[in-house]
Amino acid sequence: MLWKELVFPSATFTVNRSAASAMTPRGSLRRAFLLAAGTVTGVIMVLSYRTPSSDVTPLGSAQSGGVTHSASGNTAGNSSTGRASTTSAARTVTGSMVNTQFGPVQVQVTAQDGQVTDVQAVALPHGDGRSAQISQYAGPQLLKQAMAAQSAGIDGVAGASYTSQGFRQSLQSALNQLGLPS
Amino acid sequence: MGTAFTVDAVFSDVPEDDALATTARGCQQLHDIDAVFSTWREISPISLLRVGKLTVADMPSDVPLVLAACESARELSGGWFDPWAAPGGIDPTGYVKGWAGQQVLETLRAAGAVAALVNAAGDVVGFGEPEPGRPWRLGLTNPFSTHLLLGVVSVVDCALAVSGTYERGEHIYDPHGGPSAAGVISAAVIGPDLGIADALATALVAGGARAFEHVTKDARYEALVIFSDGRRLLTEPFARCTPWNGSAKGYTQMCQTDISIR
Repeated sequence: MLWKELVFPSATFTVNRSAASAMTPRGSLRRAFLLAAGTVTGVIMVLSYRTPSSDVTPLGSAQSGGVTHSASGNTAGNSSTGRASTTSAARTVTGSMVNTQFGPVQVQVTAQDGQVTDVQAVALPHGDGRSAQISQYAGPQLLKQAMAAQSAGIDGVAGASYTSQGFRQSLQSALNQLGLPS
Repeated sequence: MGTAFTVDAVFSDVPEDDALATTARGCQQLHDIDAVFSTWREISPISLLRVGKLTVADMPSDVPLVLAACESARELSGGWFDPWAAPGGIDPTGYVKGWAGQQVLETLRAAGAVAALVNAAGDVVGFGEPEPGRPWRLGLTNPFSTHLLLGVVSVVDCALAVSGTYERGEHIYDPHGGPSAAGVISAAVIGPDLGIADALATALVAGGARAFEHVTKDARYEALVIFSDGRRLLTEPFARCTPWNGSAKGYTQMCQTDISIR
């Protein structure tokens, strides 16, 4: 299972075409990603919902939630073929900047020998100071968690509440630049 | 930034458009539940109930169902989960997040999914097998080093809920009770229903060892409580994880062991 999918599951669907024929009657894996702002919450709540610049927005707003469909061509079948090979030198690329309802998000990804070795947030949402502090605290943690999660070969993580669609999109563009499977 | 819900569904011999429509319906269901139960929206039914502007009789039909389940959870937890004791009015949030995930799972099942996993911002429930011969595998966040995992739980037709204080930093405001008076940093519950599991995990954070005594009386639910000083209480399935070093500063070794439930 590729790590992009674990914490930042794609809002696209992935069709396990190569596996489907081998795994009858299994079909395809569909997943949908919902970023819920001001949402059904448990014990934990993100302070940024209280910042003046971001009202508690309806979930139906343009930036959030829903399922988007994109034929990225990166199928789950990639996982069975392993990672694309790269040179041994580390490469760092910056993903696209994504505008979210909380502000711009941009990540920087370092990879070596076909493995992601580091993820840093280059730009993070900042409404007021508190929102920026939250981003600084939570963003890098989540990205590092994705790296740990990938090595464990898991489908999801229990006990982590936060992620950002902006992170996912910027991360995806960085992975594309690095030529890594996604 | 926001809390994230994910929906994974596996279909067999279903057209892609139908499968996509089903998962979209699942997401929409979460939106709809949030519209009713979000305590952050001043005009949501639950908010109006809390301040007394409306009564239970005025509520959408899900609300009395949820409140009834909360009563069961309150009993199961020996009173350590108590929405009626929340300041500011009744607050079923500790149950609703898990309940929402469970509802979506049922939607996917009813739509013909052969397997599905719903992650309601850290509370997870699944059924079926994502691939033949293997169960859904969930990482359990290490509360002392949140970029690490404590272990891996294999979910076979059951739910795993986690509650804790570790996502509160000095910059994160936790309106639902603040730090644990019982010194709990994280609690996890495995059981047949994500809503109840969520409520019980919430209770364990609040009540620590005393809540653990109550929760573990019910054989359907397994519990894990981790204290800030490194102590832990756990039922047998959780005990099958590699022993921790118990250091008060945290767990320096990434524990990666399967725990198979049911």
